[in-house]
Amino acid sequence: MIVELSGFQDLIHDSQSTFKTLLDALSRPGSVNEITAQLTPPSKLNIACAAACLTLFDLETEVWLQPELDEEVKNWLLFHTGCRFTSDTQQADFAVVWNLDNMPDVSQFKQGTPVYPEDSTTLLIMVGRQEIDMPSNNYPILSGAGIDGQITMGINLSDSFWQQWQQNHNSYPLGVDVYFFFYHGVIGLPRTSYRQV
Amino acid sequence: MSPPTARQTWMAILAKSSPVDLEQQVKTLGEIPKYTFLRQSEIGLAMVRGRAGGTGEAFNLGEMTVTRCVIKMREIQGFGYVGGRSKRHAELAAVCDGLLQQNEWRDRVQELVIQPLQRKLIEHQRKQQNQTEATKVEFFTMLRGE
Amino acid sequence: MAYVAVKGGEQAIQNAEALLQAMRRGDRNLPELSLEQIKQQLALAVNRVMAEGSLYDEDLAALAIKQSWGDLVEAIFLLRAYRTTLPRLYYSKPLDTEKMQVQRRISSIFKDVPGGQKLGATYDYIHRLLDFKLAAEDNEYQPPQKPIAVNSNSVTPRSIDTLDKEQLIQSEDVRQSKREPFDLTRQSLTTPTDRDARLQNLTRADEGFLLGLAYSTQRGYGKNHPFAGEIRVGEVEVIIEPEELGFEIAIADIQVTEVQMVNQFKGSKELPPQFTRGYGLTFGYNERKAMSMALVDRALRAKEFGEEMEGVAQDEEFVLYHSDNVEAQGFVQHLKLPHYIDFQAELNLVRQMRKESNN
Repeated sequence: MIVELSGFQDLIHDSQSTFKTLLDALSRPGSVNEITAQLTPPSKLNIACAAACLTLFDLETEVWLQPELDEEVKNWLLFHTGCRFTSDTQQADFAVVWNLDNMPDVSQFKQGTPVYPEDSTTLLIMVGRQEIDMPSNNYPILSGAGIDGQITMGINLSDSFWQQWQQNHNSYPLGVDVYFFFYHGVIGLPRTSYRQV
Repeated sequence: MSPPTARQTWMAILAKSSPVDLEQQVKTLGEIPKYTFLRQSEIGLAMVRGRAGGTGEAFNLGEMTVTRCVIKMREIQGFGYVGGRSKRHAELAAVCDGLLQQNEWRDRVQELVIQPLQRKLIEHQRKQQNQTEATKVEFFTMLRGE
Repeated sequence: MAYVAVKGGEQAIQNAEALLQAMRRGDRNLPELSLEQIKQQLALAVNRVMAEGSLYDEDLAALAIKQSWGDLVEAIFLLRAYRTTLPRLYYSKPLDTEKMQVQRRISSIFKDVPGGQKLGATYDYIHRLLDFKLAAEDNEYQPPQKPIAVNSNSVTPRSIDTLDKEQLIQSEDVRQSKREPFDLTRQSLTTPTDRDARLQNLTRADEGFLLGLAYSTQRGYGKNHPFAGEIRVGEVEVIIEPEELGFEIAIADIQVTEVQMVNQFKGSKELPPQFTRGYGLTFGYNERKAMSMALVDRALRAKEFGEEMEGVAQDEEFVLYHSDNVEAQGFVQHLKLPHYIDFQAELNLVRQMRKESNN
């Protein structure tokens, strides 16, 4: 296996600070959080998503990669994390998504069980950067645990995603949690968040 | 494991030698090419397995500490995997593995690092075997009765 | 019942720790114990801590012993806690104990075994009387040497293989193992268990607990007529196959103790009369533990062989749920923590009952 790209420059501190950022992102849904770790990711991963993968994956996690993600990504993840790959969305602890429009329905992923609701898939979705600084009327407004009243989420997502999301929210305590990544930024969308209409 | 390849042999010698001995032998190489870390030295665990009855069903015996490292030197990748928690040990093992894959370095590293370390390991093993051999029981049968 | 938080004692706790540290160090005029001294001169303690701490690392085990003031169960706890902080990077190939670099190897069922009987470093055949010469310092001992001709990684065949060839012993060949072995560091143990789960549990189990259980089987609580088929101690290679490398590599030699117990078995409807096996394997030189493990492993196979259940050592629920000294010491010792409110409630209840019975 040929891997040309290194992982974190500072393994311990970069993974700890990334982990902290990921925790913050899920604790404050909809807020924009910055991942400060430096690295050169494979071309199909953005920096934030790559840092999250290095932080969260290990020998004991099963990862589903959207089929469009190539061998370079696979080899890089395998080399640096030792994770296992699965083509079964029902088995995946994590799913890496590069094209949201082409993703299986949210309900296709592992939902957890009543005894272990945390044993569900966490979706790592890359989105192109949009005008985060200038919320428009089109941007979704979120409410739920960890949100003081409501918050405007700075990324546009399709209606079909939000339909799936409503269903995901309704099946609480089961369901998936999502991270959206763009460049250095990450936004968390836990199953407890719902869109205001 | 089928008969080890040259690379498997040197990697095992690098792993089993003491970090102190390894450091000492690497010093004798003089200046070595620059390298970067593809994967920094990292300490973790390997779950060691055994088999019921020695040959039967596998089971988890317990973990041991391991340290691994991957370096990149010119276009060559060097890998180090060593038992224990010495980051330097894993790094030096990776560096030597990288050098041994390069024609202009192979003989020199074999001569100045691998062979001396191997001799030391064999010597240690032989000493242990000789000590154990000294405790081997020689049975003799006594004639009784008559 | 209301929950009442009690605060206080902070200074006392800090001072208790400081006192422990000072007492542990002892007289400052005496040299401090080095980890290297513990590793070499208290090697069997280090081995026990590695085996029950389920982590092979002599330096860490020596540190744990020093830190725990010689309390091995506490040291085992410290090692277990430390291992949870490290990521698991690899699973090894199952150890090939036939290729062991033998340091001790005996069989009590066959006098002549291929490879011979080698006693190694053992207390077995010496007077167990206090040696007052040892109390003086500056002892020097030379290890005996007997040169051997060849120096190869020779295989030492198992002494019970001859029984296997005659099919007089239950065979142990499941090389085509169907699934990943059970891992109790990742899955919770539920009964009934398979042998892989039991062996992992037993190799981490408290030596004293296993020793008592093993003894109970010998005294008749689940009799199974054991013989020590073979005991071997020595170094074996640990081999991993990193996926990024694509081939197997040896990363270390570790010392293990392996015990093959041979037990008589009358046979059943399905099985002809034959010998059966109990297996013990531990990190380090831990012979008493490995023997106890093998006896208890065999006892726990009673159901598999359709034997009558007549002893506690055959009861997997009892054995496996009480064998771990880290769990056991935690639950027993938690009784030292304040139970003021619980006890107040019980006290009131007893007073109340007393009052009612007096009326």
